[in-house]
Amino acid sequence: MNAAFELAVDPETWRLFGVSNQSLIIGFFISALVGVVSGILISRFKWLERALDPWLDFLLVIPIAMIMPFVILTMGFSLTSRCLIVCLFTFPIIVINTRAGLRQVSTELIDMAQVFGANERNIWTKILVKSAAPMIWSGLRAGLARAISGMVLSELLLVSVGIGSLFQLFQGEFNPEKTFGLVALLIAESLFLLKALALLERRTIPWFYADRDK
Amino acid sequence: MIKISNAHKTFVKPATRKTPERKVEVLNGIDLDIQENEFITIVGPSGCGKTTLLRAIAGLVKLDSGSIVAAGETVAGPSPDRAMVFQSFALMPWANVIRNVAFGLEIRGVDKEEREQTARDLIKTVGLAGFENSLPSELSGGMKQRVGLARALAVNPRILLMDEPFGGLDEQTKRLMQEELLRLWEAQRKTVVFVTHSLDEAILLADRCILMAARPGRITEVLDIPLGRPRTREAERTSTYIDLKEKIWDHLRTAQIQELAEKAN
Repeated sequence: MNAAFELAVDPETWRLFGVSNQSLIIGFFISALVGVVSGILISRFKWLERALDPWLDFLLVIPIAMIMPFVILTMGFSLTSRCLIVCLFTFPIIVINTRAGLRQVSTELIDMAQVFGANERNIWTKILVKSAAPMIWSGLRAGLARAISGMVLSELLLVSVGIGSLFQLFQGEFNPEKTFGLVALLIAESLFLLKALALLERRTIPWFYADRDK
Repeated sequence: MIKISNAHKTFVKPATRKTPERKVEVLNGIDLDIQENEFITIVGPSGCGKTTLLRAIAGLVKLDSGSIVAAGETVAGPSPDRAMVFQSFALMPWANVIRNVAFGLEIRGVDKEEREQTARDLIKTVGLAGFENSLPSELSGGMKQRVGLARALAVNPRILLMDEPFGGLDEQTKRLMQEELLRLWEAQRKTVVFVTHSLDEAILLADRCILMAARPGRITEVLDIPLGRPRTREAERTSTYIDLKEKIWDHLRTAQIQELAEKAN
């Protein structure tokens, strides 16, 4: 714990965390945006779903750690390749949750919208996406957790620019206190990010929690 | 107001590994004329096509053949002249009462202030004043259906379609809602088509009661309900009412027993 505290007050630690977090933040936001949009598109266009479904399964099951060297070969030791790895971890789970959320929208709500004259665009914006929002958010939360693993893994196995370089330094010094201190800081950061996302979710879909909080 | 001519609809249930393809004739040559401001109830055993008929009038179900003309136009899809009240309310859980009631107006592009004013007025009419900002999850079943009713009335339709609207409510709420609906209809007459499986509802509310039978879904009898208007629950104690109830029950009972016999074979 002392080691964690010492690390936490050292500005150099935060600079290195910042460097690592670049890939986390950029990768997560790209995955969230592209993932939700893809989830909506494959739900809307059945032919697109048929075409992409095998690839989605493929993305879910590929052993990302093992293909990392290929990412390096094609993109080099760059921020782009770190972001890409975070995306590989994050993107599929967001797509799958978005699609699952859209699938379970009540047909009666869609009937209702149609009776009152909604066109397809209205149905998507006013009914489907709103109904699916809780599932989309749960996908984003799962995605964020996976994005953090992706960031750590890319640092350890690939491009040790931030946290990874610290980790290697402490390992090289055979310094278990500092190593665990680093792990503790990383966990603290992850919990903080997940909490922040959960707060954002509550502000976005308060109705979903309205009757659960009673 | 509504003219249904020779309406046919068959649902095809695709074959599965265990069962062969099955065709269910839910509407088989339905003919029905409904007058302006008439209150029609439809009763029949499950699977007789009463809900499908209602959905066809709404424009949610396309007929295989035959036609429906409602408020002067041939039904090809939903129209502002026809609004619907749903059995399980179909409220948007993320929207408060006002926004739910104003939904039809929102879709029509009525501006926010105007549609919320209309919504507030109707919320008062259906007795929900004070709950304007509540979410559906904070309301009881009866209150939810009041929202459903207000939403349908908000678009000021000429035809009101109601699909077992009180079917999911407990007995005392149901009775209260029936009385409120009678009161509302007296004050603001509309053509109403009301699907129900409650005998009392079918008689108490209606000018005419349509009896349907299943396999194939068809109209077997049209009963005039010669009870006076404005009508109250007093009507339930008249001999006309009791005879009608007996008659409808006879019909349903036969259908029900037939269904059991068919299933047993």
